[in-house]
Amino acid sequence: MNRTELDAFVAHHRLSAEATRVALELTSARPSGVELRSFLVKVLQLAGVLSLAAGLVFFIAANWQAIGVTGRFALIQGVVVASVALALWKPPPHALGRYALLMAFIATGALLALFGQTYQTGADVYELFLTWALLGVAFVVAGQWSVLSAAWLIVFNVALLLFFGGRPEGGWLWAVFFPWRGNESLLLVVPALLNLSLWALAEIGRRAQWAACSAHWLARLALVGAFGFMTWAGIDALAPPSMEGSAGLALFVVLVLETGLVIHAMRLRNDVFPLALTAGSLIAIVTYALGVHSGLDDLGQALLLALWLTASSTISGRVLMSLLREWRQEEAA
Amino acid sequence: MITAAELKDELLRRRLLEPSANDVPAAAHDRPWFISVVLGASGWLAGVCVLVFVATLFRPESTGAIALAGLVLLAAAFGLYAVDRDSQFFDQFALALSIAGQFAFVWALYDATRSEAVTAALICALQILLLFVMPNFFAKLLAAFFACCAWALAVRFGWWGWSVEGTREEALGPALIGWFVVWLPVVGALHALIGNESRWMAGAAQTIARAALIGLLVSLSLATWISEPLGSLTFWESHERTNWMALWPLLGAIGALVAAVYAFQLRSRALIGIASVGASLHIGQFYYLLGLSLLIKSCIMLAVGVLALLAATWLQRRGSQQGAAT
Repeated sequence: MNRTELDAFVAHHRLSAEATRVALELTSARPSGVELRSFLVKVLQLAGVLSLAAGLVFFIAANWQAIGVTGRFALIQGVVVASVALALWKPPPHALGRYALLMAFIATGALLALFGQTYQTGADVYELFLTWALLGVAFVVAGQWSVLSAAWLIVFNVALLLFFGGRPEGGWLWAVFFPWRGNESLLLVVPALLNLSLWALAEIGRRAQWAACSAHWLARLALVGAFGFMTWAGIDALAPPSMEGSAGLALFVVLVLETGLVIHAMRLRNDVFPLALTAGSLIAIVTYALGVHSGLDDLGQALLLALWLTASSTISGRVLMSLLREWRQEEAA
Repeated sequence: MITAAELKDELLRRRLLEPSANDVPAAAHDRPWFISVVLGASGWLAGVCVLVFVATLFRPESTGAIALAGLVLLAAAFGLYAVDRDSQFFDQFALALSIAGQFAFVWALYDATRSEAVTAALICALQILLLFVMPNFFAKLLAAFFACCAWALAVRFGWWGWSVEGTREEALGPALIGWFVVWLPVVGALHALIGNESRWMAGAAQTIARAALIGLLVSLSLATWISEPLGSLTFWESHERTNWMALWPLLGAIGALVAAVYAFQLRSRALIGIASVGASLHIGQFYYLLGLSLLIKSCIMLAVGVLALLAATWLQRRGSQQGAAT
């Protein structure tokens, strides 16, 4: 029983404070002292590792002018080597091994940043993040930890955001997409598809009980990335002055993808999260369309948007909650 | 996992429940956090649109007219919430009106006082009033969150003013005291609410307290973004001035970790997630905030990291010793 159910139970039965205390105990609504200590230890360990990693990054940034080139590289490479050595000594799923590989992953990013700054390669920022993500795959596979997988996913999406959003001219991703002659909004579907692939991989991994994908929220994180890019593509396709052919195609592809995800979720009947993302995405796209293309004056536009937002979110909320309760009952039965 | 029926049977067996008790109807607010985010964001935008509509239609020019518009909108929201508490449509429409009314009050108060600190303080009082008055859980939750934001801004503007150029030299003492003045009461309130959960759950204050608890946890997770809104906008400032307010994001990150621990006590993964994201974003802000050199920040982060790992080791050993003793 979650807190909402407990609140309703206590209020309905008008339990006394003593009875409520017993109810909280019986439902294990509060973690025991051992559980709380264990969680606190994990939080402190993760915070400690991340603080050390951040301290290292800050230190490099602060001293890069004073430290010689060799010294800078030796420092960061030393951290990578030491972290890998720790992970080999206490390999995952041991906590030390996991944290060491997380540190190695972060240090790899710092190393690449240092390389880019030192040698002025002219590489674009997205190339740093993309290379970081590519090199980090080995750590993710070895780490067998959802937190490490999530860190990798964030770095990868930053690379996609910088390239497909900033559209820089340079680097090997630009070389791949240089022949692209379609609308830029259609190009934004590519990172969405990449994230959807990662989402599918995470779902498969979770069902196959791969430790790297064991957390349910990891797949959801990839799905959030996919919907972010799809929403952006849809809004970009509708940007004035008028919709081109390939922009219309981009919007169509986005709608098809989102429809497919809705159908998939309706067939599985176990998670409304994809449906909530679809609702949010469609509300955002249509809101933009109404704001830009309604042709009304300020007064009419404000009223139309207010009514649209209220009606669409209400209908979405009603449908989502109805499905959620129905699927929960089916699961309980 | 015990079910509601099993819990009821056990409480009956212990004579903590009346034998004639019926089963519990479906919970009134069992909405998952992500649905609340979609609805909340839509309600927020709709509120802005309603304000633009009201402002364009009536063109209130005087402070009194703007305040009256805000009062009417809030009263309308209250009425909609009170009339039908089960309708999603009225909930959302009321939320839009409520947010529009609150915006109008901010506008009117600033117009009247021309003081950011006083405006923030009065808005904090308004939000506390809304927390108690509004007959809707999500509205109460937002009121608790906005109350913390307004309180943080009231202290920030009251002590250091609004001007971007006001990133003058700030000593360590005032900077630390300032942050604790803002967030220690919030942490204290959280601690009291969690410590007395069984008491207020059984009382009439259940809805208010639950909403306040979640609102306080979310605000503590996103603390310093709210209490130092201008900090990251000073890239052009000289590095020479020492401003220990640059520590605020780090303290905010620690606050977010405290929020994560409290969220774990409530067994809420969503709130733990928000706290984790908040902590990470605070560290990012810590990097960019001027006032301390990167070298000092680096040393601070390394020291914090070492302390955290030592604390984790000590806790683990203590736990093992206690486990061996029992």
